[in-house]
Amino acid sequence: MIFELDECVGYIALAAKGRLNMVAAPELRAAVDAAIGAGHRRIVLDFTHTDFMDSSGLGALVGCLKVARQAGGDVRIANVGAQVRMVLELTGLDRVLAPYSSVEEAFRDA
Amino acid sequence: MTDGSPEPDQDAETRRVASLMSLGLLGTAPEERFDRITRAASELFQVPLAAVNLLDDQHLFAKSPQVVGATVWDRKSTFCDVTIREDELIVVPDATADERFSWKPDVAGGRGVRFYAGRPLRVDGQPVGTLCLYDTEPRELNEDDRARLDAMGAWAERELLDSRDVERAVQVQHALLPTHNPAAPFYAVAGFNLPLKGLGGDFYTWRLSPDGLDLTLADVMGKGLAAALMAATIRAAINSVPAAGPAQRLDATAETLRADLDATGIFATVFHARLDLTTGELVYSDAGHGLTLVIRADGSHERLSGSGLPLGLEFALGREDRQAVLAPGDTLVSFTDGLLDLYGGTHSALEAIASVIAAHREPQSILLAVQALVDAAAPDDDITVVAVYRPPV
Repeated sequence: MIFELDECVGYIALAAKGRLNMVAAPELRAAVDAAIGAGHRRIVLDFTHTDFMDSSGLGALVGCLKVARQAGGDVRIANVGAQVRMVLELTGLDRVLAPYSSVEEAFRDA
Repeated sequence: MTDGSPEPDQDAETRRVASLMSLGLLGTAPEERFDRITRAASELFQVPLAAVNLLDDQHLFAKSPQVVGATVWDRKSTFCDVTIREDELIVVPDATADERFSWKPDVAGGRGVRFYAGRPLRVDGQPVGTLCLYDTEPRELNEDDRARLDAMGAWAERELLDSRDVERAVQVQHALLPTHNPAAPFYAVAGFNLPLKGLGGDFYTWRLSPDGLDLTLADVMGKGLAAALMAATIRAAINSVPAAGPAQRLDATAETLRADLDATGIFATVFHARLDLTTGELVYSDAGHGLTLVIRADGSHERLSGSGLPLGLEFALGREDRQAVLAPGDTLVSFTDGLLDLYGGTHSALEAIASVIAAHREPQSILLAVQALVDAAAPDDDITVVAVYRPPV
């Protein structure tokens, strides 16, 4: 999985490219851990180029959320495709990690 | 066999093949752990081909490397047949000059093999396969080389034994799945787990209680041994925590396992229900599973929507009991996302699955339909399905 970092005003955007599965899950965790370690608190994960997420990917996503919240920040997700949205809906996690329609939208209320 | 008893060497061969079969490796896909050995041997000994082969009574199965269409050979035509029969390191500097080998198709015909070295791979003291080297040029194998080949053979033997550990664990995991139908003849209850290879994090269980039939289907995050360990843990907790109803049972399970789930970072989605066998009333609670449908007698369907987060992902949102009724002619089916992903993993996948269930109804017939799908699609995830059918009155 490849990540692209984009520092914006008030948040950092992380674009994940590829399938978010058992292989990519630890990479996502590491990327978010690194961002938090670098002092970022508001992180948007851009899923434009992630069209598949399995349960390991979901586990990593929730792990990222917990780490960010413990640090006093938050993780939000944007540009989520149909399969990823379905996983979030089925597991009820869309109530905790609501998908935003764009990266800019994610922290607009913050 | 005029005296009706098998010849002694037939007994020995039977024992040898039994040891081979206990590994569960015949006919299996390529595995990096064996390919690593044959790549290393090929480089170390500077030969065009090094192989790990397994031999039953009639065939040679090439475990590594695997060339499509050339993994199974008639045993008698192969070099390794001799290695297995003589059960010692065989080195053939020039096959054309050795009458045990000069007639073999690989020497006389196409591949032009001249050099062969085969080190028997033993399990339970039985030679079940070989680590072998082939070259198209004659050559020798000096004492140092022989010691190296022997050491690499020991490495391959350890990998073979690892396979058996997994095979036994798979048998245990499958033995934990219920097979009888305690609700017969009023309901048909069945579950299955495909494609039945390797360990996984899916499980289902059911049992009769004074209040009805308790049904559980769960999918633990991840794959393989790690997922299987947590699956067994969660199964035991669900079956043992005291609870008045499904939601309470899931909450109590989450609470009991909180530290374990935290420590491992693993979560599980669970559908848990209690079916009143007299009325067909179903009380259920869903921990982030969401993949349960009721297919009505008239062919319509509804999803039993979720009411809580997965076990291990507690965000202070409680779980609740919900109700449904299984009327005569209805089928309840709960499945894991392996089946959903076969259809693309989106909302339209649910529609497609519902129509497959509607066309089959009966758990046994559903099993055959899903089996055919799995055979055609070769999914990379386990597919687990539990179905309960209430026949029309």
